[in-house]
Amino acid sequence: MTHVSGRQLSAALAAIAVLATACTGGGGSTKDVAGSYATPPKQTGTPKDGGTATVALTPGLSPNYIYPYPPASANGTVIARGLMWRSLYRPSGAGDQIIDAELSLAEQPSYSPDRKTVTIRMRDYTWSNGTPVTADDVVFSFALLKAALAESPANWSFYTPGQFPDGVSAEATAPDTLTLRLETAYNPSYLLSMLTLLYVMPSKEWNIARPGGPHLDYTQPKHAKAIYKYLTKESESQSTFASNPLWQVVNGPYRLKSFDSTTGSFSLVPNESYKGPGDSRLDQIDFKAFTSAAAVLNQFKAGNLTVGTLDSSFITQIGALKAKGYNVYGAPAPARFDSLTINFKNTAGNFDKIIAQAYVRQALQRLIDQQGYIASRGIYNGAGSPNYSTAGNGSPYPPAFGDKAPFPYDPAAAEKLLTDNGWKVVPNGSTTCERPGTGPGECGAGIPRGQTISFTLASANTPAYVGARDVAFASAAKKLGIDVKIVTKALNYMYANYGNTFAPATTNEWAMQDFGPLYLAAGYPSSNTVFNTEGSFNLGSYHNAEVDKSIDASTFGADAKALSTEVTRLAEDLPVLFLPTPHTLVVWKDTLSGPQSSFNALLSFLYTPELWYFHD
Amino acid sequence: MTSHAVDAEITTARNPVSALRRLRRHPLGLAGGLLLLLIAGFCFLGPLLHPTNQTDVDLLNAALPPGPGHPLGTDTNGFDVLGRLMAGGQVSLQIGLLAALFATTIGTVYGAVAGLAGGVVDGFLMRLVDVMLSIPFLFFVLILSARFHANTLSLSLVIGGFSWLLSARLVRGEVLTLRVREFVLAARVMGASRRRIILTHLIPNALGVIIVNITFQVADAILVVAALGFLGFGTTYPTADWGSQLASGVTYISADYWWLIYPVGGCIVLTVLALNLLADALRDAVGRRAD
Repeated sequence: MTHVSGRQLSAALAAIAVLATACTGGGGSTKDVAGSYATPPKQTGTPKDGGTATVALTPGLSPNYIYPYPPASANGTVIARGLMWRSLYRPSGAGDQIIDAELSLAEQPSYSPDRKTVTIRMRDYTWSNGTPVTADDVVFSFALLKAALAESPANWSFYTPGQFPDGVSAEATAPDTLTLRLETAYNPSYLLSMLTLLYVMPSKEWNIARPGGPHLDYTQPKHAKAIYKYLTKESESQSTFASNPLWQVVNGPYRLKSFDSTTGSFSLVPNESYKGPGDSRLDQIDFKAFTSAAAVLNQFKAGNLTVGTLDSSFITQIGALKAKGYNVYGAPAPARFDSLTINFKNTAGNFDKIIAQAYVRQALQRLIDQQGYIASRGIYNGAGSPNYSTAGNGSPYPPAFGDKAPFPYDPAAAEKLLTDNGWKVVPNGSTTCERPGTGPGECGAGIPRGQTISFTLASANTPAYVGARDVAFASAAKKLGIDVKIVTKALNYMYANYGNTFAPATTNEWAMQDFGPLYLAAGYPSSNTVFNTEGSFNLGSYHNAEVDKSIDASTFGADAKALSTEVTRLAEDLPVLFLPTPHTLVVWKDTLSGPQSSFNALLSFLYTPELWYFHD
Repeated sequence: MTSHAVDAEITTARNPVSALRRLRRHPLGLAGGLLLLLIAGFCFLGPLLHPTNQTDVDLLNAALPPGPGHPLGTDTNGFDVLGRLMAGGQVSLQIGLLAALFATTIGTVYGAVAGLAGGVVDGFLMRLVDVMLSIPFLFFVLILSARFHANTLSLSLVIGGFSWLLSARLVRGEVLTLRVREFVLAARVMGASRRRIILTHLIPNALGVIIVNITFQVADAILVVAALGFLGFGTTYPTADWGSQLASGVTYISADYWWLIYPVGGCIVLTVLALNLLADALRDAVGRRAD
């Protein structure tokens, strides 16, 4: 009997689906690689009022929180960070500046000679309800940040116990004057970069611990704690984000109109009371959530997006996007570095003992062919820049070695490092420790005879270049007899589970991880909190007393060169393995325009739609 | 139709020679079988004719279109796509077979015990199957994959661990009809143990259904592996499977690296199609509807 069964039909449909999927890609070709993207288009056209801009959110990072300081347990991504509640100082989108002075809520701070008293004069901004943004609001924000940290140091990833905001008292010496008194003087640039992270919240409307409750004195820690608990609890109710009157009191250029808790997409409308620069000509900004970069590209190609960013995997699409009426600009984001984060506490296979040896880290770094990764059509396809430091490309605080890599790609040198230190290298086999011990030419403390080098590298499943570069690294390691087991994980899973500071239970699940980029503060890329021993974002528990001293010097000292010293020392000690920086592509419709700087800032995911406008 | 006549028909249908004769008269089934042999030969013998390096990344030769030296081009790690298809096919077929064998073995024994025991035992065992069938497979696997790493054995066990439920239902149904046949009753009268009845009478007589089921299970398992790989939870370097290859290719779909999509997509479709054609033919040949 011959017949077509349901299964055969399914198989045929699957075939059609595969072919159809393949056909929908289309568009670009490898010839488009030559498409230029290095120069940002100039501001053009006569501004028109109105219109809705549709902005693509970073794939996989849909917002789920509205209060500006989500607790670590919420694993929160904040909606429209900086657009509804401005920080005291707006971070600059340019790599050589710390703040965007024009968009900040306050004038530049002035310091006493001992740098322990900082006076900040507020600018003439108002809340959406018409009341002025005052120094009291900043004091309130300080109090709530401290309340969050009292709950858990992990509640703010920029925190190092004993440092800002610890030992900082804020006082409103006048409605428009804030005075910070510091127990320890900070480097002014560092302090300024921390103040870019201080989101100013409405003290008069939010100083309650229950709906309709009394207004509390937030300078008392117990009241601040109660307020913090109430606000974070309210922020858990995603369905009321747009309707809760609390969240409608904003000082930024926009307020929330709607939020889709299923997808994380949301819409903003102008805050009519906003007094800052920009005409807020657009009627509405729709932020769309995506789960993949390919979906973003498809929406661009369909003409459904006005603005967004794409990673370097889409370099071949520049021609197709331009043909569709989009501007494309690309560059390495300021203060961005990509790396394989090392877990110094992973004890599986004695990894902690092995990776504690500087020569092992140097050998592994020498297996990373940065130029090869950049040139490879399978990884960066030319859209990347070499990087060997935490300061990133074009930093005002470059490492002392400049562009010259301290540990350039050299597998032979990597092999020599291992053999010189007591290892028997077996290419494509198992390299083992032959000379245990702590003396010269021996493997190092805690590494027994016969020890192999085998570890797990958790690799984010997006963007595409992450997996490709990790496989390239694992392949190079295999040639040296080092077994790198790649496990692919979702980005959100990695964010929630792979960090010794907030997820110690999973320490032995990852020896290295590649979650893509890490962004330090552009303009002052200090790695305080990231690589100092006590830092709350020290994911891999890196510890080096000398580096701690360097970080202290750049954090507290006045020497402008201290940060370069820190950057150099870190690059030479390898708390992570450095990878080249992929270029970020900023894409926007050619009917939309605004200052070049506002599109340049998108490299750092800083949105300033109040400066944008549609034109003919 | 008398029970003797039915038994005779069953015996004829389950006679392997007779079944093979019937299969030969099934052109689509033969085509499926032939195609499956070709695919297996391609995967397991192909590397002898077209040896490639599937472990060392070649950055300079990544994502090359088909050309001399690389008939199907190279992937984004510089691996020869033709060689990768063979390597991936080996893993996919191994997982498919292992999962199917695992599922069928458990399902057969479970279904036979339930069918023969009847009553409360049967009711309990089959309600357990109902409960397990209500667990969404993909959701469960995605949770597992968050904590555990996928390899050939673990994927086979997980897929097999979920797939035996249908086998159990099928075999139970078959056993319910067989257990009242004269030869089973005769065995009981002669004092055969339940174990003996299951192993020497029931399972051999349900073999037609079981073989057909195995074939479908292999096809299903290959599709599941492809789906898991597509979702990013398949095997990882240096192991390859077709699903992971397809997922990787689709990631670069916008770059027009078509050779990373069509060949592996075609392999999955052809393999599943071949298995389904063969299974359909087998089902007809053994003379019983497996479903």
